[in-house]
Amino acid sequence: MDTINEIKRDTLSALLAAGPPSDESIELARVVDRGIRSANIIDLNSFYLEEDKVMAIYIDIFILDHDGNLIDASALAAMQALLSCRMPKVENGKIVRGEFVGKLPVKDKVVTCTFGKRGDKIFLDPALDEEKGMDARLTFATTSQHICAGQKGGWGSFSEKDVLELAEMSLAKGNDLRALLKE
Amino acid sequence: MGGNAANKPKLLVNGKRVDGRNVDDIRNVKIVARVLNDADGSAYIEWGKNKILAGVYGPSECIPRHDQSLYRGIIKCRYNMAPFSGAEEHGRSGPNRRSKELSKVIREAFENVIISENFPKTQIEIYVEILQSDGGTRCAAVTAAAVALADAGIPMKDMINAVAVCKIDGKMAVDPGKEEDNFGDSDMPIAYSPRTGEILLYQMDGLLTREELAEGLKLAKDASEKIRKIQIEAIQKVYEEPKEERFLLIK
Amino acid sequence: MSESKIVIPGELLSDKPERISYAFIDNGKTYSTVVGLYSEGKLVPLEGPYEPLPDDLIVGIISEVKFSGYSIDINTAYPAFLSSREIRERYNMGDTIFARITMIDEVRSTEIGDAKKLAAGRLVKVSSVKIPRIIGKKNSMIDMLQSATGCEISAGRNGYVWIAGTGNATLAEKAIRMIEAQAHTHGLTDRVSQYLKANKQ
Repeated sequence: MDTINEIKRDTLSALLAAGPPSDESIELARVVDRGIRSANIIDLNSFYLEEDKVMAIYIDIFILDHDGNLIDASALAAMQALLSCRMPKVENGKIVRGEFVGKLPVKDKVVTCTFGKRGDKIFLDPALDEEKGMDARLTFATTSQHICAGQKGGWGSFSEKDVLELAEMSLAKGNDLRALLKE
Repeated sequence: MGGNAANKPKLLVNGKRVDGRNVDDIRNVKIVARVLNDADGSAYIEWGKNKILAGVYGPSECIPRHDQSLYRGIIKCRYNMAPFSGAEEHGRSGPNRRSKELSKVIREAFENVIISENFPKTQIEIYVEILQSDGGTRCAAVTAAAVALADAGIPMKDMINAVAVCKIDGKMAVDPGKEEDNFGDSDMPIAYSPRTGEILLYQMDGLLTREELAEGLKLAKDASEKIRKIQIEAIQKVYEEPKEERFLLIK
Repeated sequence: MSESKIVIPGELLSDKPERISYAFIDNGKTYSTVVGLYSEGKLVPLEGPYEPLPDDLIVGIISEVKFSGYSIDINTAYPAFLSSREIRERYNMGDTIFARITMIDEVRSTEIGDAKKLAAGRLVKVSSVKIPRIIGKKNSMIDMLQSATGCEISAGRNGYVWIAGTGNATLAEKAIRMIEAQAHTHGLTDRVSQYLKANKQ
């Protein structure tokens, strides 16, 4: 099982923003989580240690500077982290701390594409100013072949045509993002 | 969503689903409006085995003060699963991250249609309590809340509703029940504004091709029209059978 | 008289842009914003919060005594203000008054004046949109209620109805609830008349 938590640093202050996670924060974490989870890119059966004992992955996302579209940035970071993750050595149903055997086996790469909408104008990858002015956003997570998660946010609306077009574009643009990831 | 591939039940046999439905059949839906004394507007919905109560308050004083806007009323929404709703074994009842996310996406759907500029400095509160959960609660919640808002006389551009589609044994199907939710290959809840056809709530997980996505959208749209008729009947019933007391009829 | 139809929020009223209360125009067409009765270009909401208009006659309750006046609960999100300069008498917390809305500003702050204190009685809170029916054409309904029950009834446009006097207040309240529930129906006046006759002591 893997869980994604997002911790946001208030860019205007040196201190970590205190308090319980905001709605936006929770939504971001859950959307990124869903994208990775739905795509079944990690064989969770390989996490079994022994009866009643399994391994878990926790992904913590630290945001140092916010310039809009944290969803896509966080998802990309999470995916890269998974790709660089080492598998711990397991002996007799126990993890041997400090020793590793190869990498976490990952079957595909999941990335997200987020579109902002204001009025009837739609734009990919909103920057901070655009995000502040937008009415709604639509995010699609994709693997190289499939759409694996989607989430609409904001008070605005999308037509059916928008949804299909943006899903299509996410599959294409997603490949550009996938190319940035290093094994 | 998920389930181990090895022991997944067969969800579609000869075109029939586990409860006997076809892929384009929605479950039985019943809605009663105006059921609570304290709320300004209310509705109770039974959607399949889901039982959900929606209550609306407002416009009322915005508390805390710093939340208020000089230009419009603030919409607040709380989606909550009661301890006996049957989600307990998934550890899902009570306020948690999932409830907060759902409260947010439901609120955003209503922010689109409620004409809040008419009520500056106030708040409108939407409460949905899931009394019994059987898959698709957020869609039933949106559907009931829309009726409750209409019951309260809150001005809106539309009476919205929501329905989900799923992918089971490779086929797209409308309105997943709990089993199909848990063991299916995709879940896609969608809220519509029937007046414009626009999508106000959209979530999706699982694995879909672009063709499956298109098919799912079409199934959802058709189902949304059926749900709308049931909402309208619930409103009309308030006036066809006027009651001086508000109560939940237990049949 | 053409039949009026119950419409719901978002329902199409006209293919042309028309100025109708409680309706909105989108893309050149007119739609309802509420559940209401629509006939011959007029839309009357069947439910809804009280939205004060200048010159509305309302029933209010003193909710706070301030230095320069009073905060009055008039069944809206925020209380209205009554300046001490507008009145000759002094009021206490909980007093009930019959007054007129004098001013509403851009942020919906409401001021009232022409206040007169009401005698001891009870408050019946109804949906403000039903008040016209409770008053009736040329006060016909409210006069019938008053003479049948022997009470003094003040129906505020804001949905607060004050029943005072030594008459049968309980009967008055029951009749008012009946009118509220059936405000949209035909033949209501006769039914209320019969109900009052049957239950008069």
